[in-house]
Amino acid sequence: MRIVSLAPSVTETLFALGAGHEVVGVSQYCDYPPQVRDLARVGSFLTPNLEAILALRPTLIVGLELSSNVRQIRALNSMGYPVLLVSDDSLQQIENSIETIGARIGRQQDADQLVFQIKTKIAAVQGRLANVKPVRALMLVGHQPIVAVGAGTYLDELMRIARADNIAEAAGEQWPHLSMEFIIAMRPQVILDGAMGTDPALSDFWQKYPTIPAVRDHRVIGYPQDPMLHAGPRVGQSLQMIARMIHPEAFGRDAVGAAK
Amino acid sequence: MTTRSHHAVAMRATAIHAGYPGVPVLHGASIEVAAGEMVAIVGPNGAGKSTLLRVLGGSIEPDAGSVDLFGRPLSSVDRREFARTVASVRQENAVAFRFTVMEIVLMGRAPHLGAFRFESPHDVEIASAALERFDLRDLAGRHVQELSGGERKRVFLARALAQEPKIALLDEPTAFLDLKHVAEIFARFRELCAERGMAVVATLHDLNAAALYADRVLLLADGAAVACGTPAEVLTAENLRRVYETDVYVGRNPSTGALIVLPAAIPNVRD
Amino acid sequence: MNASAGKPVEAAHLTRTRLFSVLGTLTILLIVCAIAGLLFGTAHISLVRAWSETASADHAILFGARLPRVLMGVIVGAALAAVGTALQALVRNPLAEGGILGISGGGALGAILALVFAAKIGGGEATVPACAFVAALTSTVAVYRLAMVDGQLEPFTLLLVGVIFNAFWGAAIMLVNSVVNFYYTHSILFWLMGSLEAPTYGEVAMVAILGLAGFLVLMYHARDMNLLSLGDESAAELGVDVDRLRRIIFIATSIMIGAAVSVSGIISFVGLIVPHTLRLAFGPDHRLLLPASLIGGGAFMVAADLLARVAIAPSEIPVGAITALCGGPFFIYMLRREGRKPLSL
Repeated sequence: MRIVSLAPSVTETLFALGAGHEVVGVSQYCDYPPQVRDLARVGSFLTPNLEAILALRPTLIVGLELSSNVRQIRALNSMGYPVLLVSDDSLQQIENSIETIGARIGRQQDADQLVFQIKTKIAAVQGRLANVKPVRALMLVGHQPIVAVGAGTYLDELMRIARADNIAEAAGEQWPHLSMEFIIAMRPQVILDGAMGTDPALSDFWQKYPTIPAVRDHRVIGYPQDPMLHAGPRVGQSLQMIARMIHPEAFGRDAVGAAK
Repeated sequence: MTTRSHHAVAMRATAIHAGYPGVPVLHGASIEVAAGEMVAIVGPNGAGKSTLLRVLGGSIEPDAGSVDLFGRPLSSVDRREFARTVASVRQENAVAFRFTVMEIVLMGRAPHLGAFRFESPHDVEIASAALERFDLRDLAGRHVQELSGGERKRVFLARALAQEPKIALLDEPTAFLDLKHVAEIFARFRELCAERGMAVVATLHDLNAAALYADRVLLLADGAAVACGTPAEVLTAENLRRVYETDVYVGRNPSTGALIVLPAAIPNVRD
Repeated sequence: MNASAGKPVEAAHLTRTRLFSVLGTLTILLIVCAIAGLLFGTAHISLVRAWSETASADHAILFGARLPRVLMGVIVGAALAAVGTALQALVRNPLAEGGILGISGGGALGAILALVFAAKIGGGEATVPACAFVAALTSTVAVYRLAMVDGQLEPFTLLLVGVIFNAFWGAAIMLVNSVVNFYYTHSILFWLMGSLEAPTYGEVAMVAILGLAGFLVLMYHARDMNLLSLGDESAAELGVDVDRLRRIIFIATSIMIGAAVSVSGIISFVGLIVPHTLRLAFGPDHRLLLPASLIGGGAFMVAADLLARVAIAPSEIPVGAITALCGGPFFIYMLRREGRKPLSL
């Protein structure tokens, strides 16, 4: 098969299923696993480049169900190229995507195994946190504007499993732009800041708001974009990281994550 | 007022009340012009000369009164037929784009042409003749926007002529023109009156030109006719003093014998 | 200046010969640009293989990706340029065009609202273009009404009104952007920046038909547009029904802009650059300028889109950005030129 992947999570899944050698083209933002660095690029997952895709003579194109690549998908369909679209807005959808992709490329067993591994990790975390009291938490993906993880995303689901009350759920959108007022008023006890993961200097930003419990208790934590923001096979790992950040005491660590 | 010649009445406006939104200008003015004659409308600023001309030209609808074209009411004449019969030249002659003189003059042929038809050699001939008549041959390829005010005025007169109208309505046709061209314009129009029986109505500031060239003069003041008739009948010291509120001297030009009007006294200089 | 002295009378106006020779030359230019658009792109293809081997990637790229895009470029460019010419005739000012006057912006807002509320409105493929057309028409009428001062259309008032409308539509679009799902953002950007991405042959046909219909209507009134440049009253005196002509130009241009905007978003300056350049080169007679703009606009758009596709391949620059990059300096040059020579006596 000659597979073109239009999204990082899809690329990861394909490689995790052992089909990495069949992938001929990936999106601009695909960077995991490292092997993909040498693969041809076909544009961003928002705007795939039609010509680049066609030049690779693909036998299968896999992407996300989005409104922004509709035109290119439509063109590929009309030219007779098989296109598979999956979603990653929830854990269930992620697991379904793995199964669907696995079935499509003839690696049903690998897919089952991968899903099983994920479920195992999730169960383990759930077990650990069975009697833990939930804390109010906020997870940010960006500053300027402040974009938070909202209801209807897989990250929100992970937060819930990790026994965190996501204060951004009140905004009702998947990726709400929050105001500082709102954050201060909602008094999160833990803040996971993805931008701070890349730019540690952002911790100064938070020092301006000492009334927020998370700031007061030194529980503003930066996290790395990879694997957290990749809704693929490593979602179990992401869950573990989130759980450790939110309830470190359940994992034998003190409040700032240092081992006891 | 009646026409002097027994030629057909080309255009007649009767008891016209007209003006602009909120500004009434004409209060019962009437005018008549016959084929082959030149009528001059004179009067002080604000008297309504241009307004009357525009009523004749169909661009202003009178609030009261009627306008006839060869005996038919104006409303019954369709737009293009009217354009083939009556040509107007106004005071401002702006052109939005860089058309050449020839192109502007050829626009006068438009009422005679269908939507997709190009100008025929006949049309080009007529336009060329119009250019000739107003001494524009050398300027045919020039862009109108580059010409002086006087040259531009002549271009628009030529365009009016290219329409082959039976009636020409001219608003201050000699503004911007130098002495030589003033004389020539009037000479050309008199030729047209004689050759083709064209009827010409012109508003003029220049009373002497009116006296010299017009068959009849209409003296307009405050939106109504004060007098109408031959230049001698209308341009009397009496009438003019009343209308212009200044003393005038009316006499005869020693070389042409034509009527001339001159200011009689220098207005009081305030100490 | 005696820039044009010495032209014989016969050459000083438009003749059939001149019309066909100019249009012929421009058509050749268009064909050259179109061929370039088909030859070049992100991927390197061989025309021979594309033609002979129907299963090859080359064939897929040529006929599936490039051909519809080049066709769309020609049609959208042609429509926008012709609309620019007509609007300039309508307002007697060479600084007018659909983008600057805020008409494309209105059309784009209509298209975006249709897109976002698609589920509630229903309808099919035609909903978005229809909404774009209605919105474009509303914009045209609103701009014109607001820009009329005492029955006169003053050039700078018109431009000001256009700027205001553009700002307003931009704000409205941003408002929509802020309340909808993040993933609509890209679509909204697509409308704002203009793009000829992946059109279907159906879309190409739709814009072609609407564009051509509008163009034929405009062409029928080409001579009247010439007369309009003498002023409303003078045009009327030469037999033109000015009110009717205005309405017709509004409707025809709105349909054409609505159709173009609904598939390609806001692409500005085409309707400014192309007619102005052609008017300088070949004169202002609309019987020549309109079809010349049609053809020239197509060529310009295809060339701009080619640049958009290859400049930073495999990423694409939105074609609206390319035309704006050309247009900005061009517009400034025009403003300064017109500023020195007032348009009226």
